[in-house]
Amino acid sequence: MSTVSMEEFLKPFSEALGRTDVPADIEGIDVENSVQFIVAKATSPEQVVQTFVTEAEKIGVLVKACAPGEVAQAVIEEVRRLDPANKTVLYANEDEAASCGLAEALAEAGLEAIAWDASHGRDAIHEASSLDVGVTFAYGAIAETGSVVQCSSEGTGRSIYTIPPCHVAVVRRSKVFARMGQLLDDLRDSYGAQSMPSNISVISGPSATADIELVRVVGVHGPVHTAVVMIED
Amino acid sequence: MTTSHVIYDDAPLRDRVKNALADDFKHNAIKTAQDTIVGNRNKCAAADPLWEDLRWEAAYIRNHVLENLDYYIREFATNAQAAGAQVHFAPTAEDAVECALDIFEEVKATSCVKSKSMVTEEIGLNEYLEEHGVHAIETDCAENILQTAGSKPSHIVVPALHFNRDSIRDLYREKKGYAGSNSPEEITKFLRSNLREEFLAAKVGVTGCNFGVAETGSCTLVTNEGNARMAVTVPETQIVVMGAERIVPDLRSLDTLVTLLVPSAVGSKITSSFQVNTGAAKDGEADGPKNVHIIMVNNGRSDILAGEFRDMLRCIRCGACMNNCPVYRHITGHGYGSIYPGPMGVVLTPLLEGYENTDKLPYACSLCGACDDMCPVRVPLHELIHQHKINLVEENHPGVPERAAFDMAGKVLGNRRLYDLATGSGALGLKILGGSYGALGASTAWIPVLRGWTSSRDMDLLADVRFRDWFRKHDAVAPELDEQGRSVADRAEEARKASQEGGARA
Amino acid sequence: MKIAFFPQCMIDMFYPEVGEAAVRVLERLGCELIVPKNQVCCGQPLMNAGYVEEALPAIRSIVDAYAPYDVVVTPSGSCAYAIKCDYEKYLGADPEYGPKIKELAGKIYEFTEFIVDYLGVTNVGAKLDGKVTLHKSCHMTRLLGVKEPPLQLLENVEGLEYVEMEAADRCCGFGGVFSVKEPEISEQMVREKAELALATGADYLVGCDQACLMNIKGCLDRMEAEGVLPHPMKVMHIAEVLDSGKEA
Repeated sequence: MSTVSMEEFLKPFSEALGRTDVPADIEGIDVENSVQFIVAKATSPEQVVQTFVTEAEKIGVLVKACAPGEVAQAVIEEVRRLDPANKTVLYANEDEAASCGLAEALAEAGLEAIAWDASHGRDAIHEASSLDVGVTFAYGAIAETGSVVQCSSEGTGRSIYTIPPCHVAVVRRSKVFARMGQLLDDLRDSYGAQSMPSNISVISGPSATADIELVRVVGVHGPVHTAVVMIED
Repeated sequence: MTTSHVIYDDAPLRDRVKNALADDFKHNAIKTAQDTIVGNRNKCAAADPLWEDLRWEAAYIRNHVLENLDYYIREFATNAQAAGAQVHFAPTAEDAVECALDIFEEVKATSCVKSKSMVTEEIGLNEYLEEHGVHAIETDCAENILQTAGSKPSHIVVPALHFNRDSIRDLYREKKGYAGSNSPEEITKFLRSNLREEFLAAKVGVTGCNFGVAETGSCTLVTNEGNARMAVTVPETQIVVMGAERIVPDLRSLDTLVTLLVPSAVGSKITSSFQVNTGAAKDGEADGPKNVHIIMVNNGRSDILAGEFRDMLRCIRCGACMNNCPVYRHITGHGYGSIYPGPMGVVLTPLLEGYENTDKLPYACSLCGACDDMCPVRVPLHELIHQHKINLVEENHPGVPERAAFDMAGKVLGNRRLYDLATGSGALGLKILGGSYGALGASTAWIPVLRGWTSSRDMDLLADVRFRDWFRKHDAVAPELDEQGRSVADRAEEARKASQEGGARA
Repeated sequence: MKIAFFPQCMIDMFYPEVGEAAVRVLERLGCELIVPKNQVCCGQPLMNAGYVEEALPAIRSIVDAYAPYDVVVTPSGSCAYAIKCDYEKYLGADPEYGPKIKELAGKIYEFTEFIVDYLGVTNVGAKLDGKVTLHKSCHMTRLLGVKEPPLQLLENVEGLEYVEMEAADRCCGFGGVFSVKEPEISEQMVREKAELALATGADYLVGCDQACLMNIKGCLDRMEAEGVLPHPMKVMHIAEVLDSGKEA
């Protein structure tokens, strides 16, 4: 392999900066008072949620609010609304799914409910590719851009929110943040900077392109239809 | 033919420009793209009361990283490794592509799915892999069009604008068995299903990295089409190729940069997908890459860091500068002949390739500064382009006749007596100042700026009586006075005096 | 009030009428003008082409000529910028010229900037009937940052109707040596500029930089000669507009 050690690689960079070694410590960056937080701090929680709903709508995502006891029902409504022909639902194998009785409710509604099963290994990806809808429980949401933020885990394979043509994300109202910076702060504090989830996806509506004559086309490689269920917690 | 990967067309600048101008479709497509993207970008900027402040902050963040780049590369790499990624350090483009090939051989893969990445183009990754039996499938729609057609990008963000829908339909009919219409929707649908198979079969995914986050060792990806999401979901192995300077210190800085990047690049607030990937998939996760290889590329960046063009390393490859560039507007990406076109390309290409093959490029700029207005990280682009011009002159690239002309112009314009001789009535000295320069005649031969002008414009002739000669003899016009007999200047002076006295008393 | 006037070399050589108009406007406002004998060119065409060494004689001669005066005014936004900001870069460290350059930078004004910001006037009593569109030249608008003064002055010209052209601040394609080194590109730029100006239906195209105006006028003249000019449009420096409707 024609690569070099990190020390070797760093040498010309240190030299360019007029030093022989990489300093052990530096004066850190001061983004404590970053301008992005000025507006964020000045926004009330009510406003934040309102902005989230409006911004999500602008990018073609309906946010359906529901009471904590009605999550499964709300998910089913969204699954049907996104595409009435939807039949098979792949859902994240998390406590939230169990506690809201998602599998039972889906089955009762005549939809085939399939839990993400990581024990299938890579086959799980291919299984996902024949299913209609993915349902996940998001880490949180970002008001400014109408985005939901999804972290991967054993129970929440990336495939669920990437491969099926429809995606429904469930998010708690208390985890809607004004800006991405705040959400990432919260996320870092809860996971720890050295043990971040392997994939964090900030998802802002369906995949899209404008590569042909700048004509916007919705639905390329990722989901074509997306919806959000917001639990009023 | 050049061996460079950055310069894909080494025809003389003038020929490239002529070819670009001859293509009306392309010319108009780029104009429309500029108007659309800049229009939307300006709307985003106007809607965000913090936009200009964010630009200052972003410049500060990027400068801070550059001033401590060795430190941050080490922090980023150490944290990425701790999270389970393998980090490779490639001093040159060759090292980087060889490193990538080694990884393919290790996992016994002969193809990969790839999402759009400028640095992989800079190092010539696709070509090198292809030569060694590895096929890289471009999965971004536009890049796939270019790859299928064997064409080069005319824009860095929407690189296939020079193809119209008919030619794209025909291309896929001929090469991929497409049977549909020319509708962008239908073609995109075809690409989705066509590439879906490639994704599901892929063992290796190759991506770039918009920003590496030092505090977590994460690599981030901004995409709209979801192809990068696929590329980090399905394949067991992911290769991330990144320029070593593309680092931000922490997640907060990341927010600032991404908030600026997306509107600057595509004119919308955010793209459909932004990912922060940290290390390999965790134990127990069924999808995502088991092996993540990050190839950090120097390829001349440490030299740029050391020199007068350091500010250029702030660049985050958004393309906003070319979206607002009046030259790019007409000559399109192809006029530059470099994978990095527009103002950022005019600065960067000579730095990567040397002046030998690029000494005309800095002249594809009128120094209007429109690029500076757009740059989210406030790279002083037009000043850096100007610096190239200064360096080229110092190294004598424009040649002896031009230098002689400018030397003459400098002497005339810096010396009133010579100037009088050249421009005064009778212009006695004209003959000694040089030969004939077309329609203008010898009288202005010493003004290099005016030579060669008359092909497209008509030129006014030297005035019979110069301003200075008129001024010497003119009678001043009487000032217009108010009721108190004061002129505007008198009143301004009084006000100035009063405020000065007031200031002194205070 | 004594003002040292820098006419700009193109005005001196090709368009003396512009300088004459500027002088009359300033004199009516009560300024007493001086044009130093040894001034010629600010050196900008040379600097922009990368010929810094060759530009130094011009820079020195301008600094020598104007250093003795308290206020310097020029009817050229790009020359004002060159003197205000570029000199410092190339000769700022010179023990003799450095201090003089810093001082000069603080007392040079573009023509409309001087009238509006220094003299505090936005109405000079000019009259011009017709539709006017303004080319917002790059160095003046973007680099020098003088954006409002020309608009404020035009707004107060009696009989004048202002119409903004699309992309008013986009480069006209002159760019000094650019238009000569890359005439094919420059031609496209000036043609689009002319077409956008013509599209407003304006009777007059006005600007604050004679070099840009010469470029655009050259294109309009050529269009007329080729028979493709949709309607006449007169090119005027703003000094000529502000001098209109007055007894000569």
